[in-house]
Amino acid sequence: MLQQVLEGTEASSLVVVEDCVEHDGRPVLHCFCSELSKRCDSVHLFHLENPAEGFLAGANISKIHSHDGFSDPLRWEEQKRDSSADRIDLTSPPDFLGHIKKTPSKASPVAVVIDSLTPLLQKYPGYVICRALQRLLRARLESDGTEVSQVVAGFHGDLHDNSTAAALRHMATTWVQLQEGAESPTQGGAGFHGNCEVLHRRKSGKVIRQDEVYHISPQWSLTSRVQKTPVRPAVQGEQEPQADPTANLTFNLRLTDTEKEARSRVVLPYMHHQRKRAPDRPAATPGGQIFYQPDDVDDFDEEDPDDDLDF
Amino acid sequence: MFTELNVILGFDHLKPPKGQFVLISDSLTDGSFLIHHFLSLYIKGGWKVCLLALAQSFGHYNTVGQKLGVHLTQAREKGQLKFIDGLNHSLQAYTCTAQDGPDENPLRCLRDKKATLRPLYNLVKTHVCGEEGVLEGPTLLLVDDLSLLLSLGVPVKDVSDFVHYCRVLMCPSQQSQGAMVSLVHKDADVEDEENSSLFRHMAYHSTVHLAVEGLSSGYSRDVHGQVTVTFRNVQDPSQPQTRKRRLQYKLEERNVSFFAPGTSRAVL
Repeated sequence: MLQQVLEGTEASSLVVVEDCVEHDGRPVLHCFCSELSKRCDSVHLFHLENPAEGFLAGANISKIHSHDGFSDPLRWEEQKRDSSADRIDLTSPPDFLGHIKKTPSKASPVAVVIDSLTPLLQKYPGYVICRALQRLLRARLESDGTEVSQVVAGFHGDLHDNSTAAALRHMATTWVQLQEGAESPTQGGAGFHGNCEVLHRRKSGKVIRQDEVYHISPQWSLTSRVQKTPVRPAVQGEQEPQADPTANLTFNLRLTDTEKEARSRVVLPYMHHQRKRAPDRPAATPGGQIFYQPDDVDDFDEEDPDDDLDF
Repeated sequence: MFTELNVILGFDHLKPPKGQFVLISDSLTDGSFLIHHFLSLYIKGGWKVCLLALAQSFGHYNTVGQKLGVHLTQAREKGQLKFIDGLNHSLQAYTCTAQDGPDENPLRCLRDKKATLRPLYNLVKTHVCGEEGVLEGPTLLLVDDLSLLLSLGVPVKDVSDFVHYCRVLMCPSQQSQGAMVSLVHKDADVEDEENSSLFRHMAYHSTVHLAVEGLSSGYSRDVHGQVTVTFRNVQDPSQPQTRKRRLQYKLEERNVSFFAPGTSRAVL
């Protein structure tokens, strides 16, 4: 599914690639950037976390317009600002469409790659970013009609709270969550690989969720395939055989048949048996009788010491 | 000195790390021996160092440096080492009064909630760059340490912006002249959300992560802990992905010896 979305066989207007500290999503974004530069007329790269050179290898550079949010996002370097390059300014709310409209070339449709949404989400609340993304997706409805065919954004899942992630997940037509994968057995070790969970919503309403394994070659082409999970039996058919405690001992704990029979006939003490009850002594006091033999020094008085109490 | 670690990381004093952001994190142990290592590596190689010290005074680094064979006082006089006394600045930020005139303290954000760490960044920039405002030769920015800024009350967002700008200054790409090393605490037994968040922010910026922690089996006299080296932000996919390496270490009087897990001299 990831490969189909990348190649365009599955249409997806907003793709969000969620990564974490353990598993970096930048190579996947790079693949999207280079693939979109081959497929679309123009790619707008908004890079906020890494310099643009990190995304240009293997791509058709003439079609990529980069918008720099990396060098000076907060305007701390006012005097060094190069006014020719288009810079993203985090001191004002993000306006992706505005940046696209400012570029001189008016190729359409355009694709947008954003690396990543995190610096924007740190400065502005989630709904502001969602609004900017929404405006980008509906660009075709505006008067000058720039059409945005696909938006790919990176998102660091472990830096933001669940509500932001949920809001973005609702907007996204494809959500790719990257996880650490096992080492690829076929390739020698070159390239990037890992597992991912892809949640894709088609326009028809069908939602597809797949666990996949992806591999990125040194030429920045991505291939993915569905990971087959081993089928577990629904019911544990046979119980595990109980371990036999009498096995593997240096002494014999087993019983022969006659011994087992004799054991079943043993009368345990303190159990009431009909024939054992003494008939001549019915229980006067419940719980048994007490027989007391006083010693010489005992002062055994038959009287009840409580007789003189008068309440 | 630290030869095994240098071999794994691919640097030594003749070939210092360039374009790298080395993040050192420690958990329940002290990872500052790696800060001293990078400091002495650069000074020995004759390269320029800017040390932003928030944790210790200059005397401390000097004493440890002498054991590792570098003369920090001399380097400071020559101009090779630029020392920013964060301890002093933070104390002054707390003890200065309004009558003392306009606040020139780089850490004035500790008193003024509206200020950011921009003055500190400007101070670092003046120390690190030459007249043209660019780096001259391999330069190292050492920050010891970032968690202290959080403890002093600076929000994670401001620390993250400061580190972003330092990174743009020192090592925006892997071909730049500068490098950055910083230490973040990541104690496993404390549920510190701010510290974990700061660590994650730094981890995304970093190219090499050295995680220093004690042994999971407890205290040992011969093995003091382990270092997990993780290479991040690998730009070149044709390189084999040896992302993680684990080493155990033992602290000695003038050196730290690193060895593969299980091969300590006491065991073999």
